Amino acid sequence: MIVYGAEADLVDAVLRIAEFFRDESCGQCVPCRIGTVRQEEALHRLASDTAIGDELDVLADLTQVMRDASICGLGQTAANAVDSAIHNLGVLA
Amino acid sequence: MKITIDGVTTDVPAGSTILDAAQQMGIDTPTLCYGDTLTPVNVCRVCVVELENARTLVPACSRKVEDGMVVHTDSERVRTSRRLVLELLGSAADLSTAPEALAYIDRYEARPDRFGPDSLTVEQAVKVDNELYVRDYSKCILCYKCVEACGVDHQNTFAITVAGRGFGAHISTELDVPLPESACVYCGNCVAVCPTGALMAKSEFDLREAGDWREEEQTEVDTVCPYCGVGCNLTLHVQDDAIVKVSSPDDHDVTRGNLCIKGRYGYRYVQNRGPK
Ligand code: SF4
Ligand code: SF4
Ligand code: SF4
Ligand code: FES
Repeated sequence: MIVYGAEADLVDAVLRIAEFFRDESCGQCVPCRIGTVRQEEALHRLASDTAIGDELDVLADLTQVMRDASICGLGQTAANAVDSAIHNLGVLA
Repeated sequence: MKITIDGVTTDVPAGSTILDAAQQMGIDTPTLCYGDTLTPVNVCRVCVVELENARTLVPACSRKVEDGMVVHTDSERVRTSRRLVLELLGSAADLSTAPEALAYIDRYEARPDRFGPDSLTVEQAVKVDNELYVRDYSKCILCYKCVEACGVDHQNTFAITVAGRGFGAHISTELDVPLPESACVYCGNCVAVCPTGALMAKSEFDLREAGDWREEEQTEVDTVCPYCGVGCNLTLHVQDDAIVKVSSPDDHDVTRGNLCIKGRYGYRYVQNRGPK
């Protein structure tokens, strides 16, 4: 659980979390190596109002598949905070 | 060992993988990083299946069967993972000479372009630094097969490995030196296992560049290597009465698809026809 103040910039927080996971991926398995890059790219497009197609659909697929098909806990949890921010807090949704 | 796959229960020998069991039952499982002569590395994740009571999906190519396992190979979860893995690969690498991957993309109705035209890719200049084979890492899906073939699985030369991490992970010679300065002995055993054409015989590369690679017209001739007493089996790929590529059957107990530089590339004397 992460606690933020009411005035926190949650979009910035989500982008930084996505960047962290992209940066920390070891690169071994496809869902995490490429998935963390696509997750960050989609979030940047949403944040800059340059969405193409259904970005939330892309992010939902990435959440499910990084969790289901990555080798280790890093990839399996790489979308948790992003997904939670979108669905529980309405960030970028 | 008893295993139930897609509702049908079967017996498999101890030590079998879920992939072995599925194959035995005639279930066609997509694989990219798996090779029948290589130790599974389970990195591509295109073979994942749903194992009841497991938190995540599991790779069929490397997960050993345990008695009583119940597995689903075509559930919504499985199809979604396989499709997205193919979309991710197709969005990052050029799969134009990767026939299996392209067939899986069709089968799972994957749309690699759904991430948009500005997606980060592994596009880079093709490495043509020797006369025998070409390395076009814009096509590389980082399946590790070449590294395994060059290492303990086959060649034990260790000329190449994975360098870097994350999306920057890539296949490299020691210190990234050009191939002629590396430990490579040009056996071409890495080329033989590459599923994407990222590694390609120079003869094939040149013909493709010239628009003159006509695989459907080629004939295959099985013979024995003329060079040494090991007597490896060769398959000559012939186009317009000329050998354009040499491979070796990977179901052979001794050579398992491997050759040395002479068997794989030393065929030019056969068609050294001299001036007309
Ligand atoms: S999930 Fe783990 S093994 Fe796979 S790329 Fe990420 S960090 Fe590496
Ligand atoms: S040609 Fe042989 S020695 Fe050279 S990198 Fe490939 S497997 Fe290794
Ligand atoms: S060069 Fe070919 S065999 Fe090697 S990792 Fe890339 S796709 Fe796999
Ligand atoms: S074929 Fe099983 S993970 Fe690649």
